[in-house]
Amino acid sequence: MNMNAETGCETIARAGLYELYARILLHEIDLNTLALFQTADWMTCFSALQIEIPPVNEESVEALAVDYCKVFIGPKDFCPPYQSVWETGHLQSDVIDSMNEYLQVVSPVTTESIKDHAGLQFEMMAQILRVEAGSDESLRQLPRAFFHDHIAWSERMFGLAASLAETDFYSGLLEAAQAFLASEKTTMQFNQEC
Amino acid sequence: MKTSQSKRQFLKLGLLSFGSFSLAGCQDSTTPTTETVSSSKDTESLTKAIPFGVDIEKWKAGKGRDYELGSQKMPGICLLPGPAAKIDWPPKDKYKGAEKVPGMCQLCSTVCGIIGYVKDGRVLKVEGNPNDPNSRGRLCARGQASLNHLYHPERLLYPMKRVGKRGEGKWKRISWEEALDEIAEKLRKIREAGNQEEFAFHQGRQRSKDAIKRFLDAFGTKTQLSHRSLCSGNRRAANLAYLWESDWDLNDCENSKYILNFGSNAFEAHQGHVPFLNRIQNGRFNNGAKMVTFDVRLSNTAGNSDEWFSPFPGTDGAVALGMCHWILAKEKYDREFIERWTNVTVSELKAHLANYTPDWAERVSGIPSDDIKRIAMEFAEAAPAATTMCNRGSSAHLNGFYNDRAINLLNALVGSVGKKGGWCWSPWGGLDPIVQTPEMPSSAKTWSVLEDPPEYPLANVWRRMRVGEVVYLYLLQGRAKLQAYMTYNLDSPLTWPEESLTQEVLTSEELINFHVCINCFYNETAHYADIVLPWTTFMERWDLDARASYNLRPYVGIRTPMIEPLGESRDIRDFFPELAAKIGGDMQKAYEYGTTEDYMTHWAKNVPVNEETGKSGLERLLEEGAWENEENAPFYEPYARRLTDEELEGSEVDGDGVITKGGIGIGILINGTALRGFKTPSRKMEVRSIFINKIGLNEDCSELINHSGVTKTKSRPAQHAGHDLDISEMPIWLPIDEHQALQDDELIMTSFKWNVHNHGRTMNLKWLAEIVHSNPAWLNTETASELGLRDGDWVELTSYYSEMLEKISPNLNHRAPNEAGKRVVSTMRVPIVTMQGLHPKAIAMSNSCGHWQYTNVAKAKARSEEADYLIGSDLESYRDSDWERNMWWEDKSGGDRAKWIQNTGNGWNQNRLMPIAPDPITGQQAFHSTVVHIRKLS
Repeated sequence: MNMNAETGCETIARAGLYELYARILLHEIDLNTLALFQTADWMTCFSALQIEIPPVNEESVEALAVDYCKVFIGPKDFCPPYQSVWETGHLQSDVIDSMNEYLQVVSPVTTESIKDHAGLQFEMMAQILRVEAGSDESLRQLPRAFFHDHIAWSERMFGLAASLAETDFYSGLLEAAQAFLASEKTTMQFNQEC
Repeated sequence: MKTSQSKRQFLKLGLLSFGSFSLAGCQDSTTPTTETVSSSKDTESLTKAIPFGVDIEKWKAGKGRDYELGSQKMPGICLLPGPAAKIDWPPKDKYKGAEKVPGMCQLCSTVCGIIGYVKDGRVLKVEGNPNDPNSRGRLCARGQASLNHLYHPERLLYPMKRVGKRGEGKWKRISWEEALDEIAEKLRKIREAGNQEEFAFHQGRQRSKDAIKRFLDAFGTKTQLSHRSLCSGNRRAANLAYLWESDWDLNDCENSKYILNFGSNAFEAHQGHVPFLNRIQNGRFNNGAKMVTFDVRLSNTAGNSDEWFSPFPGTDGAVALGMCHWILAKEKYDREFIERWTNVTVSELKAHLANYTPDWAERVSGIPSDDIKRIAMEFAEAAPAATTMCNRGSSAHLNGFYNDRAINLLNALVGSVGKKGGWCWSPWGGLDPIVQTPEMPSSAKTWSVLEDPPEYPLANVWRRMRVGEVVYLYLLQGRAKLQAYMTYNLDSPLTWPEESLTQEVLTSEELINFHVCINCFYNETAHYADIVLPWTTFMERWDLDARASYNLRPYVGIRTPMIEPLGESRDIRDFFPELAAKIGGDMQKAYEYGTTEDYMTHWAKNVPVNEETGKSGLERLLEEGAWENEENAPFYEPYARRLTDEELEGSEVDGDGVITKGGIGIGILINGTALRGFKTPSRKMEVRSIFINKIGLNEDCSELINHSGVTKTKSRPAQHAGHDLDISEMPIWLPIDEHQALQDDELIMTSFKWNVHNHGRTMNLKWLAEIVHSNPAWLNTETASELGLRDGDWVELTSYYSEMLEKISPNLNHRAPNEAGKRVVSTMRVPIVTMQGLHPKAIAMSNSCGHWQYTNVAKAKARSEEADYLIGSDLESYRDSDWERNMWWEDKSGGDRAKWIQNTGNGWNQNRLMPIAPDPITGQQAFHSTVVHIRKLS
């Protein structure tokens, strides 16, 4: 497929968003990342999306780390970022089999050992979209399939995560993720009946 | 996206994000601008510029059958858990190709052998391992729920550090490197200052004794705290006083004709649980054994017995002494055994037991004298294939040591000690001694009042049983100082008495300067930690393990990592060497054995070859899971073994017939024959124990110890001076002061375990929690009627400290009495259920319940959000998560008793009512002696 420039650019943007959320899901925010988010271009986007970026200092990093832990790590009343938990109530369900199949095709750089971690899945989706943004027609179905199998589930997780977050940064970004995934459904022509 | 404007901004954010993050480590964020990405119309060159990892050829080759989902055509790469799964449900080939990996359960203390079915790095199923000689392939409900434990959604997967105040519940994730650095720094300072005893390791259930000992000895602290005194201290001490060589009686029920059970609930709990239960039932149904149970409560064990009697709490010993009296009176004793193998004569026994008549026992216990006599005769007639068994029902009392001494005496009178079908034991409390770890560091030499409280003379004489329940009190009283405290698989705020005191001490940074918690789950202990380390489950780590075997010979089992540890969880075998290296000094020398697998290989190397498979050592254990030398004869009548000429060479015989060699006892001369005898000072079964009296009075016992041959035993240390206690040499029964004049509205609290739970670690497992999740108080129907109570009524229970202990153990008094002159421990409001299966003066509550930190499952708290179906799931099978769908017992009353529905909620922590109440002799927590006042709530 030869994408037109606008579609290609949008696909790259979508891949970038998956990368962003992979980053958000997998790790705490460090000083470098916070500094990056405070640069003019990023701040413009975040402001427009009403996502508040805290000042670049150790206190902010600490506060975000605590919030990240509360939302995704625990130790209690948290939001496990694992697809298996959301689908079966326990870790390492048959979802892992499916992920292992996809991992035959997609090779993420993330070292996350639990294969159905949402962050890993988002990174894989970013990888897949990069390819779609390229020109290999044979891969057209892959993003839809992967989205259906391993991304769509997370919309609900983001809802819970946003409600648990105490910082404006995480609550804003996680809430936006829900909106992003809703948009993705449309983009993917993903029927709610599914 | 709410607006097109925000969508544009969102996409712009995406363009900025594209390629900005190094996701593997996320340390170096690049700083692209919109110019570097968004202006690019050459998307192809851009995507090629950034490496990506999609294998197009594999996608083409691997793409599966397309399918339809609603009106959508879906590409098929994934058949699970998509709609196609329904066609093949349950999947016929689920276990096809699965590897069977052996292991050992650790969801209770029995450590039954298990097999995990492992496929593609996941454990699909757990079942019992038939090669385990003790459990014989049986596995209880707890073991079946191993998968819940392993794959629990709220498992601790990363190290965490406290951020807010201790106990506030605010955390952040840290790396193992950071965690170990911080721990090492604290421990190094303590060690370098020579205050090693101020580092305490406090374990709950542990099965890695060697790894813990290695670390603590290498560090140089002996302050290793345990929960043994909350469990089995009295029973062990009672056994040791008779035998010295074993703290664990192994009742040979499989070959027995008569089983006399005092307060053991082996069908549901007990340290031997399934292996023991299996043999009891074999004895009953294959050997015709009769089983009689004395228990305050109609447990499942009592209910399955041929007869059940409910004695007044704490009077088991009186019943036993009444039986002893009757056996002597009716000349049904085994004179030969008594005269030859005990250190008392029949006439001495008759004189000692003269007042302990069945009529007296009836007055004390409420058990009819005629039944006491009848059962005593039945027991004696079945001997030597007759045995008593007991556990916390008799021993977890303020007079528990004497109760168990009295019960054990029955076996001596009828000569069933060490006999087939009788009251046996095994000197091998665990692993077959054929297996040896790599060289251990020399033992630490420190002393701490926390580990060795001088008030309890028998706590640490033969075994290190400690007195765990006094630890927090002693810290509060300033009797010891802790700079560092490492807890391991421990849930003391829930399982220890005096919950509020435990919490107070754990919260105080002044009393416990630094607390590291090692656990699989966030629990009530982790809540008060400074650093939490995620521990591997028993399916992700190594151990050699075994229990005292009911086959009466040792064995070896193996616990193996069935899968890679999940997340960043690690076992102590894995990180203790690293921590030791960080602490420095010479600690790392204790870990020069290589890797953990090298260690295991060395440890298991003496396991002999299996002639059929050609495998030996670790390789054999990995294949079979357990090994027992079946050529070893069961440990029957070890005392009657003749000493060999080699053993006798250079020996001497003293005036009592004790054979010594170099001053150390090796046997006894009986009718001119040199026999091994018992490993006691008299080399006989010590019905009269001069030793326990002398040790209680802090007298030198060196000579007695030398005659026993058990030279690891020592006289009490200098720190015990002034803490004298007069312990009866002979088995007696001791009344509990506050039980003698109970008011109508006063009852004695008893607790129990269910067959699906252990004390504090299983309520988070949903298969088990669904079966038992709450614990209303049990009350006798008659008592309830007298108090005007009915099923479902709520009562207020107020518990009191022991009046008897107040006098004997003033070290425990830390609460002022109220206006009525009573010292109140705590108050709790609970609903009741009424039944006949309980003594009228008892009130019973199970433990295991009432968690307030230990996962949502344990708290019976379903997610608050509305149930919804998941888009990516099989609509039939996964409409929502199992937990949200199935937790029907969540308590939604909001604390309003009027809205409370029976059998909902997570119950109440019964230990909240318990005072710290150690038996003054051994330190065993008297869980079943507490008096509570009951008041109906309107």
